[in-house]
Amino acid sequence: MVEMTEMTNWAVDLIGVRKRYRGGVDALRGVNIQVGQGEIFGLLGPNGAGKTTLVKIMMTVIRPSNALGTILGRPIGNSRKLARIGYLPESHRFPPYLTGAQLLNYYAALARVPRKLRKSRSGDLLERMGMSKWANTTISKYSKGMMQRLGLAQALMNDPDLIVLDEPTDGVDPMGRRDIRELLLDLKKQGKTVLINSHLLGELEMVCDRVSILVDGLVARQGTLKELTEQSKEYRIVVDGDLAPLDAQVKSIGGRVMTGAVMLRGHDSEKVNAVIDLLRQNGHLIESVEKRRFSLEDVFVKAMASAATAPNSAAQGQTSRAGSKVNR
Amino acid sequence: MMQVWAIIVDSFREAKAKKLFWVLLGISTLVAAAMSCIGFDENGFSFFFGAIKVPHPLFQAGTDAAASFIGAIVSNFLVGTYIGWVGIVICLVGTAGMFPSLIETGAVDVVVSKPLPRSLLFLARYIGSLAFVLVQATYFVLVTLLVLRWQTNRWLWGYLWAIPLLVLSFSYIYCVCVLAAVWTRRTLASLVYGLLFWVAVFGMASLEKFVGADMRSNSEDAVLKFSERGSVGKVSHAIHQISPKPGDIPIILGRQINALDSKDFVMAITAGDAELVSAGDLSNIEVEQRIADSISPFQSIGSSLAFELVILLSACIIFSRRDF
Ligand SMILES: Nc1ncnc2c1ncn2[C@@H]1O[C@H](COP(=O)(O)OP(=O)(O)O)[C@@H](O)[C@H]1O
Ligand SMILES: [Mg+2]
Repeated sequence: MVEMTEMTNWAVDLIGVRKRYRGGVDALRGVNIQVGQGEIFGLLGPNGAGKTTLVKIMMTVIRPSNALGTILGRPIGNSRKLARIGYLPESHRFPPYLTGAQLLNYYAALARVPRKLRKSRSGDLLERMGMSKWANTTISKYSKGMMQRLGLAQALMNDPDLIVLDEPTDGVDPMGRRDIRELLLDLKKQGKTVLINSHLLGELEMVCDRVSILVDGLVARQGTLKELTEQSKEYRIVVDGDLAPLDAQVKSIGGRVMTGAVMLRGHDSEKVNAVIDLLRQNGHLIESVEKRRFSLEDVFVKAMASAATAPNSAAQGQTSRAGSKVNR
Repeated sequence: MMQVWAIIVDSFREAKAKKLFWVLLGISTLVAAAMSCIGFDENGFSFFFGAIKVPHPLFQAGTDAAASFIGAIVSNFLVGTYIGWVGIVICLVGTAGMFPSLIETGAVDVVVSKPLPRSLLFLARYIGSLAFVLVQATYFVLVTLLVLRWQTNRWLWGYLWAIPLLVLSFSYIYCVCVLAAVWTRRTLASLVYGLLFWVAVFGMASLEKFVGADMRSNSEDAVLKFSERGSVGKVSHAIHQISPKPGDIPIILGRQINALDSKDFVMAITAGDAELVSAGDLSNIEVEQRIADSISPFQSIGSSLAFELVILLSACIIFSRRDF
């Protein structure tokens, strides 16, 4: 029952999204992604993982080879719901002959925002982005950072319920990145759902409620930041001597014997002490005990590495494709 | 509606941002100024505002004959040559980039993801592109209308037909540019295919005139019947039936402004001088005139529009279905 109500509460609920481009590139190979209402969701992955492809499918820019599921409770491409989504595309190019204010007005008109609202909102948003001064300057004179701010403003013109941002921090200086983070948190406070797509981790780690790591067209990991990093908490106990005879006993406590060290998942001090007791009883000298916690970056790198070594392990029965690129 | 209007306005802004837009307005002004160098007084022609006077018994200020004479210049040279060739090439260059810029990577994403069917987006953009030409044609026609008023002392209201007719004849060719643009996403390809198509259309029209004209002096028909033709003639006829006919536009316009017939026009400017125009030339002109007279505006425009519609529909389907 709980699951049922949860299902309907997803802002984005995509099931089995596949995309094979003309020319045979399998950009997405069965992606399932669920984004909860009101959360900031990070779609992470290396370049070429298929993040942009997924977002473009959501925004009807490209057609999926296969896709089920809903966005804001309606099938992908529902016109009424598209009016409720704000979108900042990757490396966007806005008409250079328009001014910032004209651009906001134009795009909002396309999103069916009434004229009066367009006027007041474009003023507010330009103000919010610190762009008021540039409102009546043609875009051709904007810097990359200003373009990005304008792009964000554009994505908010229809007061959307869901905001989809593809690499929003691309080409933005550190100050600008901080502003964007603050904006994202602000949007969350207003109850909006944000799906943000990036190959850079640092910035996202701080604001995302949940993330999905996409590698080579498949979801390698998905969960809350806590869940993902929890899995990679561990103790590393460096010991001298041959540990092989203790293998079974260490396993029974929940650890793993490596050469010269015992690894223990999680941060459970009782277990650590149990392992230490065992090692001491058998006459081993403990050299160090390290409490380790992986950052999202470690999780990310690990996910990529495991996908690289076994590209088809999660490919749901797909045959290997020639020249599959992973670490680009 | 709000969306369609926004797209049209944006397209027009894009057109206006191009230098070419203003260059063409400038050229049009020059052409109108050159046109105004032909005038009449009570004795005949008066060129360069009275600097050169050539007396003529018929073409005098305020006469119907003078108006028809000017009408022939308008339909043959202004519409047939300047707008029909120079103007259309410049307009094609100016608008060939409209669809490629719409579907440029990074630019297309935002518009395509709006709550608006792609087919409507396509249509609005097409209309918006034609706005470029509409503005140019309107400016030119209105300016020359004033010149004509000054030259002939009367308002040639029929000349206003030139505005829709020019946009129409432009759109015959432009639809091919659009098809090439949604296919290749390249401005240059769009332009090249458009121009090639245009050359092909005029080539086919010339071929049809050459193989299809009924030269028998006792014949009442201007062109040969299908059954009377050889195989080349039959193919030419079939292609001519379905292809767009921008070449007919000046003729259709000429009727609207009571322009002189080609023959009368030639006779008028040569004053029937046999040295300037041979009998053979005259009979050629006569045949051409017969063909021109046989053109039905409805059939010509209707078949051209049908062709345009098919091309546009294909372009729209490609546009609606493709990945960006
Ligand atoms: N239009 C296209 N045609 C063919 N292949 C494409 C196209 N767009 C992207 N790809 C390929 O699809 C894969 C995923 O690309 P993309 O979605 O842009 O990844 P990301 O945004 O994660 O960097 C890449 O291998 C890329 O080369
Ligand atoms: Mg991308």
